[in-house]
Amino acid sequence: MLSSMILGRYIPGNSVVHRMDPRAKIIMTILFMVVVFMANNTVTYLSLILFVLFILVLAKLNPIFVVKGLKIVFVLLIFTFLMHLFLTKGGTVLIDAGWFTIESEGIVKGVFIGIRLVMLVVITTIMTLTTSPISLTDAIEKMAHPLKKFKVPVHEIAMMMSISLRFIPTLMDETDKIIKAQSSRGSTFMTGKVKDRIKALLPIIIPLFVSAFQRAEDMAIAMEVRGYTGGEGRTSFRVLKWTLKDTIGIIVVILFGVLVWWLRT
Amino acid sequence: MISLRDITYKYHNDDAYALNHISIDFKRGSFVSILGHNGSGKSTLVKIIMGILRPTSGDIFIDGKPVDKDNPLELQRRFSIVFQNPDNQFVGATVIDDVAFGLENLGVPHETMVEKVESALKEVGMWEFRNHEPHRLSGGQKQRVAIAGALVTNPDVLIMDEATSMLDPDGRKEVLSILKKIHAERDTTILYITHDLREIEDSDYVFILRKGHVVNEGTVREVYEDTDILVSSNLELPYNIKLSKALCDGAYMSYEEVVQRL
Amino acid sequence: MNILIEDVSVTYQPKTPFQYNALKNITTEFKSGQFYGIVGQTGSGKSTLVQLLNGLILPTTGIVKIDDFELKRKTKYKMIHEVRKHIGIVFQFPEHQLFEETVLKDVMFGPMNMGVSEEKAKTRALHYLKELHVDPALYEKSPFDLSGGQMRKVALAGILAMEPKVLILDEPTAGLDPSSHRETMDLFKRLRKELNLTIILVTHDMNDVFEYTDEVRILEAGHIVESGLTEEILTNQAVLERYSLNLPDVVRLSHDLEKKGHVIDPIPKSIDEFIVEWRLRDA
Repeated sequence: MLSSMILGRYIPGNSVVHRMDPRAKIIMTILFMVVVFMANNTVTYLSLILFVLFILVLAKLNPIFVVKGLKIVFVLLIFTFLMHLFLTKGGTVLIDAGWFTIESEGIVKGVFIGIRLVMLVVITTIMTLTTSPISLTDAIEKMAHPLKKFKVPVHEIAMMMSISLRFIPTLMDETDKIIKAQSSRGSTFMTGKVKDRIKALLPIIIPLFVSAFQRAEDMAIAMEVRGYTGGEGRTSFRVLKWTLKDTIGIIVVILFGVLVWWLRT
Repeated sequence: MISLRDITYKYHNDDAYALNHISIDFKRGSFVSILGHNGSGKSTLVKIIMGILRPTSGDIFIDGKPVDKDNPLELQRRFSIVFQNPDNQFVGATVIDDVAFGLENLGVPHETMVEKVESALKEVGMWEFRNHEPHRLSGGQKQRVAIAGALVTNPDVLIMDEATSMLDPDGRKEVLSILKKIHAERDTTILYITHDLREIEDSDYVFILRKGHVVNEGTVREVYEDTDILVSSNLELPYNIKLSKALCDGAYMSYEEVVQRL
Repeated sequence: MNILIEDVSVTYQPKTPFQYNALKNITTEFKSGQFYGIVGQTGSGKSTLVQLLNGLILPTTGIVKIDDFELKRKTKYKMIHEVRKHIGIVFQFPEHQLFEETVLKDVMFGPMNMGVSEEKAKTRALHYLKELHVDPALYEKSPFDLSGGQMRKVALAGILAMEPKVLILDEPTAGLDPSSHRETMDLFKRLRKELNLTIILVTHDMNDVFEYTDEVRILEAGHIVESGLTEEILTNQAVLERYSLNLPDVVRLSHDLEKKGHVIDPIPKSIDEFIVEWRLRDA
C-alpha cells in the first residue's frame, strides 16, 4: 500500500509543467482550487475533469497511475459519497426502505462532492509530482520574503524545511533497518493489545532518536566548518526564473475560472 | 606553509592529555597522512585545526603568522574538510546545491558560483549527477560530492577525516584515485587521516599517532620499516610488510620485491 | 537446518515507475553446518537474499524452504515468527539496534521475545556476554555508555543468546580494529563447530571469505552468477575479475610465486598460514 502511495512524492521529468516556476505552480493550484468550488452543475464539473486531464497530459503523467496512487483518499471519498447519498433529500425518491430513503438529489450531490474532492487532491498531487520539494521550499521562501519585515526568520525556516526534506529518505531507510533488526530479534509490532503494541515501538523509537541526534550533531558541525552563520550576507545558488509560460499558465487558469463562472447555474 | 606548533589539548573531564605537544608542518601541495587508531587523538586534532575546539596550548601558523584562534572563520577559509559519514555532511537537497553551500555562505555572487560549482563537480567526475538527490548516490559518490564541496572554496588544505572508512572497496578506490588526481593537478595540501596502513602509499609524509603522541614520522617507507610501532599502535600491517618482516630478514619490501625474493 | 531457495524473484514497488527487480529467479541451497560466503558489488542483491531467509522480505514469486517451513508471497506472520527463532541476522553496524536500559536486558530482549523464560534468558545472556569477553562490570550499565567496539559485542551477544541454528552475518567486522576483527571472526569459526551452526557471511573482505568459508555464492544484478567451493572460485582470477572482485591476498601471492616456478598446493588459507608453511618449507 505504502509503496504505491504517491501523495507528496516527486517524479523528475522534463514536461512544460515540470519546468514552470514553482511560484507559478503554487498560485495556479490555489486559483484552481477556487474554481473547483465554483462548479455546481454537470457541465462545470465535466469541464473541471477535462481541465485536469489536460494538465495531466501536459505533465506527461499517466492518469491511471495517479488515480491508483490515491487509494488512500478513496476511503474518504466513499464516506463522503455515502453521507450525501443518505442525508441529502430532494428530487425523486428512488428507494424507500421505510427507515431510510435514497433520493436522486442525494446521488447527484454525492457524485459532485466526490468529484470536487478528487479534483482538489489530484491538482495538489500534480503540483508535488512535478515540483521537487526543494523548489517548493524555494518558492515558499521567496513568496514569504515580505514577512521578514515582521521579524519572521524566513531564511532559517526555509533552511530547516530543506534539511528536513533532505533527511526524510535517510531516516526512512534508517527506520526500515531498525525495524528489520528488531523483527529479527523477535520483536512484534503487528499483534497484541494496543498497550503492548505501543511498548513494542520503543525498540524502534529509541535507536532512531539516538541516531537522529547523532546525525543532527554531525550535520551542525559540517555546516559550521563550511562557514554557515545564518542568513546574513548569504547569497543564493538557486534562482527562480519567471518566464512567459508561467504568466500564460496563470492567465489560462483565470480564463478557465471565468468560463466556469459563466457556465454555472 | 601551514604549521601546527606544540599543540596540546586536554578535555576537562579527563586527566590525560588527548594531544601532547603535536607539531606538524604542511608544505604547500604535499600529501600528508596521519595514522592512528580510535583514541589516538586524531579526531581531537582535526577539531582543533577546524576551530571547533581551542587548543589548551600551542598555535597554528599560516605562512609564519599565527592564526587568530578566536576567529574560527579564518581557519575555515583556509581548511576544508570531508568527514567520515557521507550522509551526515550532505547539506543540499541535490548534488549541485550541496557543492554550492560553502560558496553561498561566503556570499559569492551567483554567476561566479555557477562556474565554480561546475568546475568542482567536473573535477571529481560528478557533473552528470548534479541533479541527483543524496539517497540515490553510492557512498563513494557522496564522498566525491563532499570533496567537490570542500574544494570549491579553494582552501589551502583539504582534510580527509577517515573519509573512506564507511565505504565499500569500490568507493574507497574511487575516493583515493580522485585524491591522487587532485594532488597531481592542484597545489592544495592534502591531510589524510586514517587507520588503514594500505591507504597511505601515495603520501609524501606520514605521522603515526598513539595516545596523543606522535610516535613515528617520516616517508611511507620509513614508517613501514618500524613494524613494532605500527603493531603497538594497533594498526593492521599490509601483507607485504607481514611477509617481508617474517620471511625476508625484517627489512621493508614492496610486494613485488617480496615475490622476487621468495 | 537446510535452506532451499527455489526460483525466487523479488520485485520492489511493482507496477509503479519505481519498480525494481532485486532478485531474478534465484535457486540455491544452504546446507546445515556449512560456512557460506556471499559476495558481489553493492546493489547486487546480497542483502535482499539474506533477508529472504528469515522472512524480512517475502518472495514475489518462488519459495524459500527452511526444513519444514515454507516462506512464500503470502505466508502468515505467525509462521515467519517461528522461522525467526531459528535464523539470526547480525546486520551491519548492529550496535545501532541497542535500546534497553542495561546491557544485560538488551541481550535478553531477543530470547524473551521468542518465548524463553526470564531466568533462562538471563543465563544465556550471561553465557554469551562472557563468551564475547564483555567486562562483567558493564552488564548493568546503559549500552549507550559503552565504546563502539563493546557495543558491537553486546549486539552480537544479543543475537547469539537467541541460539539460532543459522547465523547470518552482514559485514560483521566493518569498522573494527585489526585485533577485534580477528577475534570476532575466530569466534564465529569456533561457535560454528561447538553449536553446529550454519553461517552465511555477507562481506566485501575476500580474505575473510577465503580463510573462513566452505562455499561461495557470487551475486550480480540479482542473479547468482557463481556458486561452488571457496577454494575453487576464489582462486580463479578470471572469474573474480569478471565480477570486479579482488583476489584474496594469499591467492595473489601464491599465483605470483607459482609463475616463478614454486609449487603451492593447496594454497594456504591466510597470509599468516602461508608464512608458517613457507618457514617449514625452508627448514
